[in-house]
Amino acid sequence: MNGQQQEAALSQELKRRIDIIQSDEAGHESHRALTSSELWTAWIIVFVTLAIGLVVSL
Amino acid sequence: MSQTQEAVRQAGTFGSFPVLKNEREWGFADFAWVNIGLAIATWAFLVGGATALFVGFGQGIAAMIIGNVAGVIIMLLATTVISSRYGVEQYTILRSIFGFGGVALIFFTVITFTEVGWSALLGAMFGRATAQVSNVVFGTAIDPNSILVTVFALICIAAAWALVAKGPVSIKAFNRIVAPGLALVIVGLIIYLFTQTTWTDLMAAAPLAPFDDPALNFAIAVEFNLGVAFSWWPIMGSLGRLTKSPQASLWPAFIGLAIVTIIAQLVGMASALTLGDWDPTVWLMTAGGAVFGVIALLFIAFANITSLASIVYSNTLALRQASGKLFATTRWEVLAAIFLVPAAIVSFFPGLLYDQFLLFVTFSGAFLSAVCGTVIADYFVLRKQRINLGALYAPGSKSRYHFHGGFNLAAMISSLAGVGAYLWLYNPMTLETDALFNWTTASVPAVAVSFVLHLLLTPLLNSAKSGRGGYELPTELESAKK
Repeated sequence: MNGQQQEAALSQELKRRIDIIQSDEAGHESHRALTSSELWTAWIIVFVTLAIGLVVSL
Repeated sequence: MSQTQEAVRQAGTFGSFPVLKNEREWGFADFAWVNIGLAIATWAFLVGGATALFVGFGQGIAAMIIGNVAGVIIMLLATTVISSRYGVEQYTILRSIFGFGGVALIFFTVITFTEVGWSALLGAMFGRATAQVSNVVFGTAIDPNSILVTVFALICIAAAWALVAKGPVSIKAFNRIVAPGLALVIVGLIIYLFTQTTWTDLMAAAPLAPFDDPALNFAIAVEFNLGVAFSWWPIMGSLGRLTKSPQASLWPAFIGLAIVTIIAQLVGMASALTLGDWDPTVWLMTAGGAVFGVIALLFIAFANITSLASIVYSNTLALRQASGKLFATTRWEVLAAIFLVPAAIVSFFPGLLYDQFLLFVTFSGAFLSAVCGTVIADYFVLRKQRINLGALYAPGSKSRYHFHGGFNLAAMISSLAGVGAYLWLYNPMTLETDALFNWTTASVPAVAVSFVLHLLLTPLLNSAKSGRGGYELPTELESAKK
């Protein structure tokens, strides 16, 4: 198999993978990586920790 | 396996192709062990020891918790979560934020500086730990800065290369053995430390080399730990893409890089304050007995290899993405070796790496914190957690992520402004600080400035009408919704 054929096969494979992931995303109930509550949990941990830091430094 | 099948497999594991869910290696527990393996290396002891320069044990614990918890979560939101969602490594994802040229610029400046430094430091740490074993077991007298330490460092670098050459499966297998052993070693070290001192003495121990202003000491200790947390940024997205879900990437990484790191750092800090040396490899052999000492030292030495292997894997992937066509067809093993050459050269100066550690960590933190702010603003706010995968891989100007000649000016300007804010509040070179620094640190404002500025600049420079940056809904999602 020459380089050109291999490149074509790789290009096709890339397209196949993108299609799978995008269709999964489109069909997904939520397209998000994290739900709002997960995201809020993460930010609350950050802000509470920083607030504790401010109190300690006072 | 045919040549094409092999090429496809290589493109997934060792290239930039998205990794599908059924191909991903790491579940929650696996990824937790990978991160624990990353966290417990000699560098954690060094960070603990450096924290003890400025604050005592009580404030040190607070500084470590604040710096690591807040910094690691912000860093993970800007890396693993996104990569895991799409199975795409972070430097390809970053094309949607900084543009193709912007990613290359960031990689060949900030990231190369940071990662070469960490790689060389890990090699030197392995070298010093091995020299210590030799000194006690064989009665040698190898100096910490001797050329033999460099030779051991080069062996460490070669071992990490050999591990990475086989891919992430070997990293997982290695971590499953080394990480639990390391966890036990850490518990053993804590028990030993508390047989040598009391909690009261530990809390009363004075910092080793503080400034006159206690508030400044605490702020520097927090800033230093924030810098350590942000310093994971260059590698985490490439590891995160191999996890089975964003949840299996966020929380295990948090457990490893924040919680376990803090425990390991506490050992270094307690050692520095009570035994006069942050490095357990120095006192372990005499304190713990020859058998326990050698076993523990070997685990710690090998931990540096696992940490280095993860760095090399991520940065080799990044090197392939950022270099365009230059390394597009270079064999994976060769590319990994190319990344390690500068680290091997720097490992000839082990003393320099240790002496400039604080400067190195905070300086890289200045850039990485600002980049995190920009990434979070772009992905979570402007794009509402949606990226067009096709555009990530479309060539040059055909991609909506081409922006202005390959550079997203909004992201570049906002990140630079974040760095500027950091340096205005705290200059790591001169240690000069603004009065605000004592209350805000420098990394947190850097994140905030780049975050806000990116939100403000994007509509101005990449309006939805222009189509630049694809800030409208990806068309395939729109059609699916109709």
